[in-house]
Amino acid sequence: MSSPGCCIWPWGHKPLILHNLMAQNDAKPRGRTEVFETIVQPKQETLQYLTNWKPPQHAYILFETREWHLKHEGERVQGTGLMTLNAESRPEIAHQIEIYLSKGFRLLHYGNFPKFSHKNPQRASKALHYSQGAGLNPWDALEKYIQQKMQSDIGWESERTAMENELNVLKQKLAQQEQKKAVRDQLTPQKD
Amino acid sequence: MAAVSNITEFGNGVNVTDVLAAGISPALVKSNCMMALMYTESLPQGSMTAKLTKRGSLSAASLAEATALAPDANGELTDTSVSATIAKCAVVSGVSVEQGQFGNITADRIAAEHGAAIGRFVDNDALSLFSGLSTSVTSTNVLTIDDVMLGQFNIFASECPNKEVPLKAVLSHRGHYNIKKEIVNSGASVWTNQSFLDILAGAPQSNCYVGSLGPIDFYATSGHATSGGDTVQAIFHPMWAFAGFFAPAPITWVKEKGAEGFYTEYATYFFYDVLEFNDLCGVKLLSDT
Repeated sequence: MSSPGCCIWPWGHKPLILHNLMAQNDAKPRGRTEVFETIVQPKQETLQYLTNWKPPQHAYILFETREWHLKHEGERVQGTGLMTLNAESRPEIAHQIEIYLSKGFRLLHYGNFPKFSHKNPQRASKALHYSQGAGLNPWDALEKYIQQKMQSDIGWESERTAMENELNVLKQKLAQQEQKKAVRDQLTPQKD
Repeated sequence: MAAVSNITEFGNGVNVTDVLAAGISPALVKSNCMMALMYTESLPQGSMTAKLTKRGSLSAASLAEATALAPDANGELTDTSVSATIAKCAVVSGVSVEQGQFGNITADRIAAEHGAAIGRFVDNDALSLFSGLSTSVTSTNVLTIDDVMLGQFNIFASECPNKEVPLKAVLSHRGHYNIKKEIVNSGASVWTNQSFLDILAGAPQSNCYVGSLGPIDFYATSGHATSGGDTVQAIFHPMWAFAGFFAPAPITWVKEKGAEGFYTEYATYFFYDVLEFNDLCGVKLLSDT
């Protein structure tokens, strides 16, 4: 599998196209502005770094960093950034993920993990090679670990959406009730 | 005029072909930079995991006369740690019996190339640690001296120990070029001082050192991670920012294969881990790739 499933995006299926992003970000002209779509929704500030971001060719794990941006004159501004962890020849990097999570980084995405069923025979053979003949692909274990760590972020998003939907239904009901009350008030004769 | 017939030409003889000339070009690959720029230890014994301790500190408080002071959070000493998990990187080559008998690729050469490949792999792994630093300077376009000095300022402001040790800036080749270009284009009087022109005048060394600018040693190499259109470089303290656990040397196995195809298998492996030691002792420098 070259990238995680296509249907688990919690924030829409199609890539976001932010035409006005260049106006918001005075950093560097980057031509077309297409935001790379991640499994976990990034913070608004991080979208500028995901604009035209190209995933590496090797197996990788993408983090949203929590970092201090040093501005000129020495000012420090808290913000976010991106960090890619290389998992190509080293699937046993759970301890490194722990280090970065403990620093407040968030797992955003992962991809290009070698799989037995990979369409590229070289990737499939790599997965087989690393399985040591035991049929256990170490990148599968890493994927499971990452998904487990992402679950809270993904779950939180779906929970928030469900609650927002519930809130919208209640708001509609309230509006209907208020409308009925207004009509009833109009029909009720006023006492002098 | 027509060609003359029946002349004994060069092609009529049996000639030696494919003579090797004396000149041999080395492979155009990077040299190792990072392994000497971090705190290092040999492999842990009896375990694949080692913890590096990070000492905590205590805080004092003022106390009025005749007042008791019970143990509180100020007096609770807590150490923390970062863990290294040793991993293996390896490279395997097969050399046919024909190549062994008639060719000129020797076992020594294979072993040396394996060692070099592993060195580059570990070096790139160490360079990728720059992305994980929590403080960054993003150049408006290309890297400037001020960007590097901002990083230096933050490391000093974080009270990184051993300030007497020169910080190391490990740049991409473009970053290095842009620093030199800034010096050349600047009319500032400081650049009339020969001692500040080391980075401009010196030749790059085999360990990627390209010169110093005041108390900062500059290194230029390739293999940095990228983020968007930026290369992730860094300035850091060589004792406290990163750490590495390394085996004394790569180990090469030589095994002759018959039924599998008559070749000699050379398998080399190396145990190591590189990790971030103290986040505040390094700053990443992002500038145009």
